Amino acid sequence: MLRWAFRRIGAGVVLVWLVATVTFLLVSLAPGDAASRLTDPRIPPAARARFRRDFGLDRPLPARYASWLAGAVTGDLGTSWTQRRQVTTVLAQALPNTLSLTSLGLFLELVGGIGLAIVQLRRPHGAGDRAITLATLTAYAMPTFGVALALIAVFSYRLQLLPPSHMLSLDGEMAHGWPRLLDLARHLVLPVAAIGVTGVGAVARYLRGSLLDERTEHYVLAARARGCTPRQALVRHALPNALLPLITMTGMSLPFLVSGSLVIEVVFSWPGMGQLMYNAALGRDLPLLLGGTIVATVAVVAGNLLADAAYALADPRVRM
Amino acid sequence: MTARRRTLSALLAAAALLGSLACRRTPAPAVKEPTGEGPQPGGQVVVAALADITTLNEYQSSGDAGEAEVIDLLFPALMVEQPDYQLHPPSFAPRLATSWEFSADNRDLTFHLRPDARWSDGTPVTAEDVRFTFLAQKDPRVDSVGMEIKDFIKDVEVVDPHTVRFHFSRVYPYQLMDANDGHIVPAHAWGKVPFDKWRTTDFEKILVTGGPFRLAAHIPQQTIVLQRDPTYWNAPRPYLDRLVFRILPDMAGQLAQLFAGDVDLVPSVAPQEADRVVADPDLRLVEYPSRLWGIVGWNNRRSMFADRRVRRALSLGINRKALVDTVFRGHAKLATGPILSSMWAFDRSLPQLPYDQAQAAALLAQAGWRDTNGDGILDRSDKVFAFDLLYPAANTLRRQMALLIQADLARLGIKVRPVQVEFTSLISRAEAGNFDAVLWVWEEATKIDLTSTWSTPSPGQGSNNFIGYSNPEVDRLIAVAREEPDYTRAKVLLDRIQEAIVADQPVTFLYEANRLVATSRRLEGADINAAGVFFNIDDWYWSR
Repeated sequence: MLRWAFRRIGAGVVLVWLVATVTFLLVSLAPGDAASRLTDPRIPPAARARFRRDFGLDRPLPARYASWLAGAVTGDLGTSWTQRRQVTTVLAQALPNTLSLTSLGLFLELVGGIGLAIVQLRRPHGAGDRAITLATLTAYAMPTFGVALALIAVFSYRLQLLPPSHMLSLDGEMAHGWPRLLDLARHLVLPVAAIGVTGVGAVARYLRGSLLDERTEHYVLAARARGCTPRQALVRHALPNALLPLITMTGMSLPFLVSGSLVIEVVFSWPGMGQLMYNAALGRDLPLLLGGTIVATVAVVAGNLLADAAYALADPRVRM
Repeated sequence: MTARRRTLSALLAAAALLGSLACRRTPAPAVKEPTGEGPQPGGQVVVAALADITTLNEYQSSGDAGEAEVIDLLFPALMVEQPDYQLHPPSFAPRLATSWEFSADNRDLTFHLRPDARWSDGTPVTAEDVRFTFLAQKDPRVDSVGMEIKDFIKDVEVVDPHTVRFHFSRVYPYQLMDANDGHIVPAHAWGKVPFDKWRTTDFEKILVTGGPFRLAAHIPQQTIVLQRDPTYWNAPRPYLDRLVFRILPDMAGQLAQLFAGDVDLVPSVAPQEADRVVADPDLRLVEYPSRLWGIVGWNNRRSMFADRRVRRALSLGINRKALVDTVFRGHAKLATGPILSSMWAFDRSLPQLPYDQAQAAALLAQAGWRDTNGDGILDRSDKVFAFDLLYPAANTLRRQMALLIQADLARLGIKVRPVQVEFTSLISRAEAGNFDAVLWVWEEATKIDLTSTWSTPSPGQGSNNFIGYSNPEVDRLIAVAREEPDYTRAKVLLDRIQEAIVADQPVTFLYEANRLVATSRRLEGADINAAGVFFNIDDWYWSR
């Protein structure tokens, strides 16, 4: 078990290095650089040349790569070119904002999806099942931004119940303790719902399918024969087995947890990783892009690792 | 990336639709009880901002317009540039300096500072601060983007605590403007940080300000709260208690919140949204000529565009008037030449090129472009007249323009292929000269110096003349005009330059865009003009 973990972690480190290197090359080879965007008329054209010199953009690619790598292995990801602050500081600010949003969204997705699937399976192919199938299919097919804008139109502007943007209201930003937390919660509702609504559809549809398969398995029939109610057979016996693939699905969504959703963050003015990386890409902010890429790759590696480990714990047939 | 861009533009369109549904307004923020007639003190104005600020130290800033506005509210400047550049080079009004005078030989400029100006920690603002600021501006370790602006200022001398003298190495028209450029920073606080450490210093942690407002809070990517400074020399101004910048990266979202009453001011409204703002009885739309203007840049180095008859034909062949009216819906003017028509130096006798396809066809024929093989496309020595017209991706206005130009030139037998290019890549292709034609926007400074845009680029020097325009006579005139200290004499030279450039048509001059600012109608006293949205922020107040 331990050797397996070490091997996987070792492979993970190599993967992170590979992805960061490829990102470094791709961004460096892309046309334009961070200095190209200094286009203000008051800025003398010579300032662009000075910018390139300051940030070492005039040095050859291998030299730039070597000094970046030397810094990165010691945990120094450099200074963001567009924000002029430490990359680690910038990431440390954005990451919790994204995590609060995406983890709640994922939670809603799973709980809502599992709940709906169980309700559907009470009477498969009945009217309720069909209605929910239609609803989940619609939700699954809807673009996230459409859902987000519809939610804002209804809950912020028509009903005036929830704020349309930002993490905190102006008063909330000045407040401390519970009032601040409550304000944050109010601001979380719509973006989390927007993430959840589309996700719920996917989870519910997936789980309904696998539960339908499991229901006719011998062990479920055996449970029924032992006197379990259909509901007990479904929830206690079929569900744990049907949930197994969901572990993998959840593990795979860990990268989404840390890299966030650009669309949701732009629509709700949410200061998370999605917006940060989008702007970094447009501004050719290489140090920041690399920092974000490393975070996302670590999440992919960790997500797979955790999913495999959880799978092994949940399913005795799987051995390391 | 393109998929994401596409998603974004779809999102913008959908959000615009959404905004039209949202028309309920919440009550405006509470204002203190009125104290008689005239301006009422108190209240806050919430301003929508597209992006957060990255630094409060102007000399570490990369010149972002929104950032410059916030800095201007927090730090003192010697003088305020006035929006009167239509009549003559801009004049200046007193701010930190109450008066100023030149020496007889015009090489020394003396400023008298107001004795009652204080930094937010109570320390007086003195001549030492002005000198310290100058040293920072000139220091290569600080490496501020506007460093070259101070090239002809040799030294700044502290005469006494409230008198400071600028020594120039030469006499030229923009001495006052160059001396004034950049805000004064606190020597007693920031002088403790060595210049070579400035780039890695967070100046919000040693923040001492000296403007009408202080920084009360900054929540990254969310909100910047400016609080009225009670020790400000212009008391009881500013009348407003707070100025709040809410970061809203999505323009459609900004408007939706304006209509809902959550935002009081949107500094830049897209022309296609203007009618909706005008139709709302609670809102006011302020419109004035911006200094942004659009062109089609022809790559003058390429043989296709090297002949000025061809470039003139292209300008004649595009229905520019229809294009500007269609795309900007009346919120832009047809451009004429290399100096904006709203500037004092604009040559009012310049002829406006008409839309004349017959004349265009004749000029193209003179230059050897004919449809010899009858395929509907012009050709010359086996080369067809076809080119790529680049424009920035996700810019719907310029996309519309590209399509209209394509349609107009197709009637002349010219094949235009509109190509959208991601913005940073577009700039780099322009800089490298790797393009045929490009839809481009220039922003004109109030300091008229045509060198960087229209002079032949000298090797090693940076240049904005990416189209490769080169006319020795224009080069000579520009060099003479920029040295001429008398602006009426400079105007004569500038007129000749404009005539020459319009005759050469190195670019097709398309439009001069208006700036559209939307505010709450209850906001009083705001003189929003070409010198800046917050030009007279001291005098803003909420009506009862």
